[in-house]
Amino acid sequence: MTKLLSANFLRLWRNNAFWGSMGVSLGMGLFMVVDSWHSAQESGGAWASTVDAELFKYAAFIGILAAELIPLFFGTEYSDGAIRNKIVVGQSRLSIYFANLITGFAACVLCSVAYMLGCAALGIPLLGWFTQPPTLLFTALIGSLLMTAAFCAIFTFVTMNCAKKSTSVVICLLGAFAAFIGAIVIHSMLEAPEFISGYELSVGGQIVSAQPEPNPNYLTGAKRELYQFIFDLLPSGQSVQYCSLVLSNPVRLMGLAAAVCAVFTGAGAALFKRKDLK
Amino acid sequence: MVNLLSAGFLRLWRSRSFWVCMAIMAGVGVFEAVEGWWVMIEFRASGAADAVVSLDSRYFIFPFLSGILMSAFCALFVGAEYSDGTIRNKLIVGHSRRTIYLSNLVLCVAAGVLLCLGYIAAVLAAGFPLLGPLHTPIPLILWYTLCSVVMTTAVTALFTMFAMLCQNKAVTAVTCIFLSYFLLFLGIYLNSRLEEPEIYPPYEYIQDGQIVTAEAQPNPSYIRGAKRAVYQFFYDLPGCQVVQLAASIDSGAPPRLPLCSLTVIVLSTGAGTALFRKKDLK
Repeated sequence: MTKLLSANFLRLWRNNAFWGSMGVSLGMGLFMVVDSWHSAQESGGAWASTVDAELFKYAAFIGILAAELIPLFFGTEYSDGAIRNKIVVGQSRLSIYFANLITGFAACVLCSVAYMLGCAALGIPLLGWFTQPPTLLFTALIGSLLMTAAFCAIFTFVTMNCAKKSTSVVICLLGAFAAFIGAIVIHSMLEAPEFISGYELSVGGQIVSAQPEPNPNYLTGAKRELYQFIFDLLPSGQSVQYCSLVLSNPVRLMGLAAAVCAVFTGAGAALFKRKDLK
Repeated sequence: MVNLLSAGFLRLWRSRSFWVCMAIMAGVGVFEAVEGWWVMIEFRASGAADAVVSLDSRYFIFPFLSGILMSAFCALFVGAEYSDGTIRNKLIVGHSRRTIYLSNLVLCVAAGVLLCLGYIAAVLAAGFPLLGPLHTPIPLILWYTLCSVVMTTAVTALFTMFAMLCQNKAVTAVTCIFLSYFLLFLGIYLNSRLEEPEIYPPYEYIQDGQIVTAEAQPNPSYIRGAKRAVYQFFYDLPGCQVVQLAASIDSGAPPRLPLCSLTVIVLSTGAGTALFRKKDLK
């Protein structure tokens, strides 16, 4: 396992896709801060943002980066025949799977760190010091790392069980984008107001209030709970919450991310053990 | 060219990626119709006054999907020619590089048109009995469909160019999928910026029981001059265009949209064939 990990990390340092992703993450961190600062300047301070608000926006794109990075990096093991070589020299399939999972997760964490460093280095001088309570920031940090681990577990599951690199790239990328769009749709459904607010108007100088009407799009009862559960379960739904730092239930989010990670890793490792590597 | 096309169509009918894309398009078409019907039933049950979901709102979704699916399909279908070495075989038996490029473009465009038709057939077949007929006038529907198909063809021409010029199928897939989503999100962003009002109209609000009138104010975020022209130029590009098409369903899409798509088809095909002729195929 240690040898596999050291070989994987050696390959990671020389991988163009990894350094490209690191560059994108760092660039995004700097861009987010500059964009917020520019908006605040343009609006005369009305749209002022804080460094905390920008710090966790990496959650919005880390899933997409993982969907591109993991299949490109580990798909090469199939196309170059490196997986068979590893088995020939006596490594077990389980250790190959876990070494790849750990390497993929480490690569994504490094991309997140690059984003946060860029964001904090420029954000603290331009937007000021952190304003949110340290417990919320710490919870969001641990939770978003678990969410990243869940993304990595899903994409490692696909990549290690699909021998064609291009097919796994397509499945992971299209799946990641579809999951994000699905999460945004569910979020907008959950955020629909219960009542369409009554408006006030003046009739001949008299103020007349219209009664609020119930919103037919508002989700209630078991349906609302189901949508909330799906929103919390999907790593893309979690990323929407970490982005805005509005967390429905931090402990539940972390538990569900860990569960997604465990289920996909267990299923992926079991399938990979039986896979015909040809 | 005819031999290449007949061999290509034979491969297309047996292509798993084509049939998966077709199943997704048709499946989404059926889902949209059934979901619209379900929403209508729920609205009626809650006693909502306007409990109607029109088939039109479900029909006009396919250009959003077709561009994204074509990015994956072109990368896989054309990329297989490189990974299987068939491009070299075609050259060895005497086909010119230009005919190879154009035959692949025709095949991908045909696949794109078939995917659009797959969605249209599915949404109409499921939606007509559930949601009733289309309410938009037929000429407008036909014009919208034509603009959408031309736009799909334009993005297909772009993806074919990338696929023909990059020998690594996985890298092509990443590039094309990122490009398709980038264009879509860019279109959404440009739409929100270009639709901002130039002047905020005057409005009345109530403060402490008194009616207060706020004067009209210029919008500082309104885009003017050369910057607006640049934004409009990118907004007219295929991919970004899909947002504009969706926003102009009632009034009809402006004729410059298909013209812009045709320009992209000509330019990308010209550049693609020129670069492919010089490419080292190893």
